[in-house]
Amino acid sequence: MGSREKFDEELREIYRMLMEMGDIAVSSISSAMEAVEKLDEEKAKVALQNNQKSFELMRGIEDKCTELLMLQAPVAGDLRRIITAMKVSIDLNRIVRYAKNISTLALDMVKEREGHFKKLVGLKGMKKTTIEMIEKAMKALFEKDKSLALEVYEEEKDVDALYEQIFRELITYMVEDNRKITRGVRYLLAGRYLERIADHACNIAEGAIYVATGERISPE
Amino acid sequence: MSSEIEIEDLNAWFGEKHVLKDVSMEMEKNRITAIIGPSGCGKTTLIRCINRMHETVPEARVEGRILLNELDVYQEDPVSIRSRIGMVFQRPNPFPTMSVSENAVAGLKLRGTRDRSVLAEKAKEVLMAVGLWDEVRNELNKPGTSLSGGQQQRLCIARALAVEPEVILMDEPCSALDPVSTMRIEDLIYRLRENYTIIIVTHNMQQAARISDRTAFLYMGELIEYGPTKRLFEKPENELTERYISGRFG
Amino acid sequence: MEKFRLVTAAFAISLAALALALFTQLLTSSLPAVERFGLTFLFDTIWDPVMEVFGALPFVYGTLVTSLIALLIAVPLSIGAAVFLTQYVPTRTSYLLSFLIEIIAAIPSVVIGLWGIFVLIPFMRDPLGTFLVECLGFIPLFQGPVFGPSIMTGAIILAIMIIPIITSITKDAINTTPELQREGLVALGSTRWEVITKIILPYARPGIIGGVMLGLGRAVGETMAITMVIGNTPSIPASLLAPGDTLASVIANQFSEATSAIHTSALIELGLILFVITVVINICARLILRREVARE
Ligand SMILES: Nc1ncnc2c1ncn2[C@@H]1O[C@H](COP(=O)(O)OP(=O)(O)O)[C@@H](O)[C@H]1O
Ligand SMILES: [Mg+2]
Repeated sequence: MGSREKFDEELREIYRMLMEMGDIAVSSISSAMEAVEKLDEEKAKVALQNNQKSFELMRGIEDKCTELLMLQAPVAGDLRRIITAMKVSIDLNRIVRYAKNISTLALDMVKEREGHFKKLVGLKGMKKTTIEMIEKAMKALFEKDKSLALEVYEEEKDVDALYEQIFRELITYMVEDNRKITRGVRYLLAGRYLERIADHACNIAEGAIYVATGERISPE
Repeated sequence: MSSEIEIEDLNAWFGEKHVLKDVSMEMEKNRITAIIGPSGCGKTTLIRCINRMHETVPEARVEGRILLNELDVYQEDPVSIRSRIGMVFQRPNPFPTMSVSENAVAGLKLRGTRDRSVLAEKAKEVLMAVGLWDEVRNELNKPGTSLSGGQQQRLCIARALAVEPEVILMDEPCSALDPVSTMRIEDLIYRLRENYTIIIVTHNMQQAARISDRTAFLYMGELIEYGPTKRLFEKPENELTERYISGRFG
Repeated sequence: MEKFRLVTAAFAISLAALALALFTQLLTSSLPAVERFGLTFLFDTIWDPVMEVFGALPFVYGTLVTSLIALLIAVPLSIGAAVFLTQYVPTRTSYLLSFLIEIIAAIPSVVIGLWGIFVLIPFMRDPLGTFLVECLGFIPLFQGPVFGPSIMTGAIILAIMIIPIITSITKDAINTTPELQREGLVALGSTRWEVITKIILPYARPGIIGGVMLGLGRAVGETMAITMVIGNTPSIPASLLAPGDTLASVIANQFSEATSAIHTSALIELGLILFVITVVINICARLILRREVARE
């Protein structure tokens, strides 16, 4: 095998690992949020376990990218794909960490032995949108699709709006009844984590655009 | 003083063989322009057209214009053009019959400088400029060919500098050298850009990326892409450029 | 393989033996003359077969002087021609011209001798000789009267014969000048003339010297053509425009009609001297070349 074919093979492997991380991130978010919604201890543990796997994949990608940079001195599209792979793996790993944080909130709620004092419509909406964002950003990255990546930015605005809404709503609850403060803060934190996740999805979209066109666009 | 070069619709032939096709580009003052491209694409021919060395080959022919600070190179005396545009070759070629210091000032002597102290002064100046002075100050009277390959190439650069050219052309100046000598020459070239306009042909893309401000990609005698080096290596506009610089040439 | 080595060794040894045999043959055959005249043979200026007085000096003089003048004429012309053919004309023209020059080398020397008799000698008599006397007559070497057949005529014939050799070897030597060196100087902004004098000729020097030596060897040994134009007079004239003789031509002229044994032996001794001169030229050539190569 020529060194160029080996290079291409390695790069494909890196992107396969990245795809796996993307799947892990999405499943972590959905398990963590399910644990919150249904106060399900088992689901929460799934997200906790994912954390380790994701970390290992991130390290693996970092090692492989370092090796390619060192040995092959890639340029142009190759260089952009490698640099982006490293950055995206960090974003995805952060996302999994936030999902883990959400799972921890769920476990805390389970320990409190109390049901939800409200329907979690806003949080569900945020979950749905962030997952969609991650999936779109990853698709944009693989298919070098700039317009798809730009949609991710649009959706981030929806997530921010939802978070703003949840924030006001919960403040009202907590001001009215101070026994709801503990649980209210937990909801608020879950929202905050989802909002952070959406930010990272935007970073991935940014990477997708860089791979596709070499442009570096800044948020806003 | 350094000057800019403007090439307009340059075509060059070896006999019937058309090796440069409608090349137009500008090389900026005090900048390093790298020319890359696969072997045989016309890189050497392109720079040899600039100092009118191409036409010294039997049967070779040039059409088009090359301007050195708006002065048409092809309307001038080639000898005077060559003293304004220096050249460094692929393999170091100090003159074997001359000593180190004689080599350094060979061009000045051609121009009629006879005063020994002036020559010695200039030899020291250019040998210092290429970082060779400390290495050879005790061997100034040895033949130029007794130095190591990397030293010989720096001596050749010194020789080109001594006639105070405005532009320096370099044809793969490191291709016959080891990595350490290569690095030294790269550092030197980078420093020289303060005072000269430099055009360097290289088959080493990392080298082009490291030292040049702008890079031109030639393919089969045509200028495919020309732009700021960083841009060209990060996001080339042309598919061919991308394939060439990332080593995927069929 | 071993057999092959033996065969080649046998050839090499027999060639060396041949040269040695030739030398001893010359030596023994010339012994009577050597015994009779001793060293005076070398310095005596009179050659008179009738009186049996034999002195070699006029012929040694004639050989050396004609050869040297031939070199003086041929070397600048040949180098000029070689430089012109390699540097100034397109490849095809150069080919054609070189071919014509080399043809001269292929002309039998007797034919050149005939040309000398019918063209050069009359030319020598009229415009050239008188011209030389008029312009340079104050130098004894060029004083009158003008003869057609003369040392000068012989030298010119020799020059014509060695020009192709020196030109062709010089051309080859010039063509070995590394392109990289030549271009190095051109790129520094030098004229064509500077390239020729500073790079090409210094580089070609050992080759040129080799060619000159080869030409000298040829001139010294040349017999037929020079015999036909030199005048065959065993004397050492003050003027180059007077007739003379050379070692080779006197041997050729007198050998078949030698009247006595001592005459024959004296002629053979002349042959021995010629042999020694050519060997010395050869050794000198080698020494010079070795020094030149060591200088590189
Ligand atoms: N002296 C020459 N005579 C004929 N063809 C030549 C000569 N030098 C180069 N060429 C041809 O011209 C083309 C361009 O050569 P060159 O400029 O040396 O390419 P590069 O420097 O990019 O390798 C090549 O196809 C080469 O074969
Ligand atoms: Mg080249």
